[in-house]
Amino acid sequence: MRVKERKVVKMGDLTLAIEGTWMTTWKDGMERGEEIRVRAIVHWAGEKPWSVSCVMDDGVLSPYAGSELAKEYGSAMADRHARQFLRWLGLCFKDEASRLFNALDSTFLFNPEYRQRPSAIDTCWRLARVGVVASTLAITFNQLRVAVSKSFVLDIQNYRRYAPLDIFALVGECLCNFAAQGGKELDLAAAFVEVAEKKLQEEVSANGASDR
Amino acid sequence: MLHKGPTVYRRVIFPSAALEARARWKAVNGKAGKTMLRVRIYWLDDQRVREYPPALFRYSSDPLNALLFSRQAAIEEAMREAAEATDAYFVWLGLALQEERPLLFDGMTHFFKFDPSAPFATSMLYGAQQLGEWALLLRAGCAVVETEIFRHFPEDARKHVKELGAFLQNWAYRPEERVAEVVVFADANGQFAIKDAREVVRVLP
Repeated sequence: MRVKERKVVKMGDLTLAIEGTWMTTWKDGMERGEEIRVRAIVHWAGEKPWSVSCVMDDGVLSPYAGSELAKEYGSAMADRHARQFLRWLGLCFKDEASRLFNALDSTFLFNPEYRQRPSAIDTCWRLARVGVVASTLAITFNQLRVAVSKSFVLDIQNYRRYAPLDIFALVGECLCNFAAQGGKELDLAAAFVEVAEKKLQEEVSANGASDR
Repeated sequence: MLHKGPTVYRRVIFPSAALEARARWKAVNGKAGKTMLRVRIYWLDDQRVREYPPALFRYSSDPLNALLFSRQAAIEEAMREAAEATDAYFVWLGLALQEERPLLFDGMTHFFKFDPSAPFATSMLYGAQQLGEWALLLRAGCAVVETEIFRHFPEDARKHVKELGAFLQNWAYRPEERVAEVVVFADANGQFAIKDAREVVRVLP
């Protein structure tokens, strides 16, 4: 069985789809395990789409996977991992290295300090896995950052208006909000303007209050 | 100008397999250099070999080229850089085999700058990516060591794994024995033994 959940982020010429896939894996003619993958599909207008993917989790088959709830379970897992990936992407934009490190650690449990004696080979395996995820994140992050840089946001007038708010941190906030809300599609440009204008209004009202 | 440095090899030979780490410095666009590490596992019985994806040790910002060095000096510098990569691999492999997880983790995260206090999340991600490639090679190394020792020396196998780990760690720190191989064998009494060959003597498939 294979269930996919897709989240789409649009920014200027770029359509970025984050696709979580939950699937059962087969061995000796039997469904024995499950695997969750996240694929980032990068589609620039007028160009051929391409993708990068990574395995987020695999292991023995969950009891849910054999029941009538399998589809719902798979869908929930795929959705959860796609959202998690978007959240990490948001943390990259916000440059919150510490939170990103902790988020990766709580998913992959690679830091031996906080675990009940994982073996060294296990630690290596977890670090190898986090490396693949980091590579996928870095590629996706770079593509989206290029899209933001090419978009209207960095036009001279908009740049002057929004730069004091830290443009990339706001993009990160939009991505984190989208991940938390669990929508299917995000118009990043519109979300950015909404969040930025709200922040500007807040600043104006805060300055007004301090002047009074 | 030097385009590629010599390859530095180090091998651990087991009764039925061999673990080889080799590294080489290479010029990148004539402006910088990078050192890559490759790990191969040879199965001696059935003459098979498997090479794992290469991992980047580091970029050298200062190009090791003939403008700065004489050719011989550049070659020596490239060799030193490659030897450092193989040393790092065997030191970390030694730590992993000895189950020194916090030391291994701290050493690798520090070297590759996979650090939660990094100024940029992206620099941390690049560190994680590089560290991940190395972790995969270390895992391959650990797996072959454990498999071979448990297969050929089942009595006190866990102890022998740790012994080999300690040996590798010390060996990697001895510069005079850099181009060398370690042989794990059964001595006259059939007991686990390790010896340090000063020269590469074995021709692998």
